Amino acid sequence: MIDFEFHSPTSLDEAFGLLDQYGDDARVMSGGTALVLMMKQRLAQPGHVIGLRRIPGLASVASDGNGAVRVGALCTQRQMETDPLIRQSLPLVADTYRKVATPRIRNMSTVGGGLVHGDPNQDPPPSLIALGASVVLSSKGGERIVPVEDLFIDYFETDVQPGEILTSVLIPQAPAGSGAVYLKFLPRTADDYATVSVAAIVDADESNNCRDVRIVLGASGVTPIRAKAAEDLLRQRPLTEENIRASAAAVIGEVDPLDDFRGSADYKRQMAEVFTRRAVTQSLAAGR
Amino acid sequence: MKLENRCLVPASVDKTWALLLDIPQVAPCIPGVQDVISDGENRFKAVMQVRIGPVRLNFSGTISVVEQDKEKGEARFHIEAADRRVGGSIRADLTMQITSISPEETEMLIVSDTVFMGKIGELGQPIIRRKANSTLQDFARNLAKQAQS
Repeated sequence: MIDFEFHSPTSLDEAFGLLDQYGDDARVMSGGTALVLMMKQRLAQPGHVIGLRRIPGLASVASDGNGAVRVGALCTQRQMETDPLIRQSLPLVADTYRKVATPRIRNMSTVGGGLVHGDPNQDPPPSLIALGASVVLSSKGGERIVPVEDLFIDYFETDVQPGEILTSVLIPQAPAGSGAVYLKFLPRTADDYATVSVAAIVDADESNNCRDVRIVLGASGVTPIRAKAAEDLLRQRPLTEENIRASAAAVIGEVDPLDDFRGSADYKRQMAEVFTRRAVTQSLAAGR
Repeated sequence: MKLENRCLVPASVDKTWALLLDIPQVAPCIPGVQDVISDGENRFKAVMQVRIGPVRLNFSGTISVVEQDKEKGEARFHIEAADRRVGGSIRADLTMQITSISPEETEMLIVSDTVFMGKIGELGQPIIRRKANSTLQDFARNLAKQAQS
């Protein structure tokens, strides 16, 4: 690994000052699980690393009073899996974080760090997008709130601007009575990234008509992908097996996977359809 | 890695040809290319900043005009560049062929064959292919703008 200077600011203002001072040569670190690996491989070579651990107030989980939960960027992924408030009000989120890698990694990696890393294969983004979550990006000039759906711009590229730090995530609850699942297709090992993954939330009325639906795929393109055409084929329609099949088939045209050792692009497209069908069917059953 | 891109330049074939061989003018049409300076006959030095996924690369290298055949409307270029920090290099052969469509329109075919070496090669072909494709498309768009001005 190359030489670098490590900074431990104790306030956000101090961190913004360091970002200002070192600009492009600085990288922000929270858990470090992604950044340190990239530095070891020499793919990232910052001269200055700004650790956020000593800044107080960034690792709390709290209800915002309107049913949504505000999660500090430095909360570990393990915390997301075990926190009583998350388990009770956001079971989809707790279940999704439980599927990330291994407990050793989840104990180190953080919610905010994972999101700004911008890796399209990660587990949390599809579930957070399906729930309509937003991130708070703070800078010297103030705060701006960006929906997680708009955070990812390209492969490992996010909307986080120079001088900004992701400080918290606002996660609303799924509609009462809806069902939600996160499915991760893992043909290799249990701790791998998904070959494809799907988060689905289905809100159905008593007659099985779809009031609303969210379908978001991970590992299926250069960013997480919200399958809007597939959603439109279900919204305000009866949730019959035939309609669910037609909706899942539409996903093939919405994903744009990369060939890699987890499968060819064509195989991933087919699996995106299969796992969307399963995710919608299971969400419908879970909501009953 | 071989790529082929076609684009329409809104200028006559003569104007397009002149622009194509004016390397200090045309090279900055490639996103991230800057500081193009002459380095002998038909040879230029340039730097290019590019981001591929999580990696920021700073290439410095040379562009050489290998062949120019105005009759055929074909020019061949050779590019060699390296990033010392990340540790990787590229070598590219670029052929550009222009054909007149109308007095005000010229079609340009860009054929590139690029070899990636060192760390850059580890980033994975699919993602490099996408980046190279989008870079060539941006180049074509910028060149069209340049030709109009």
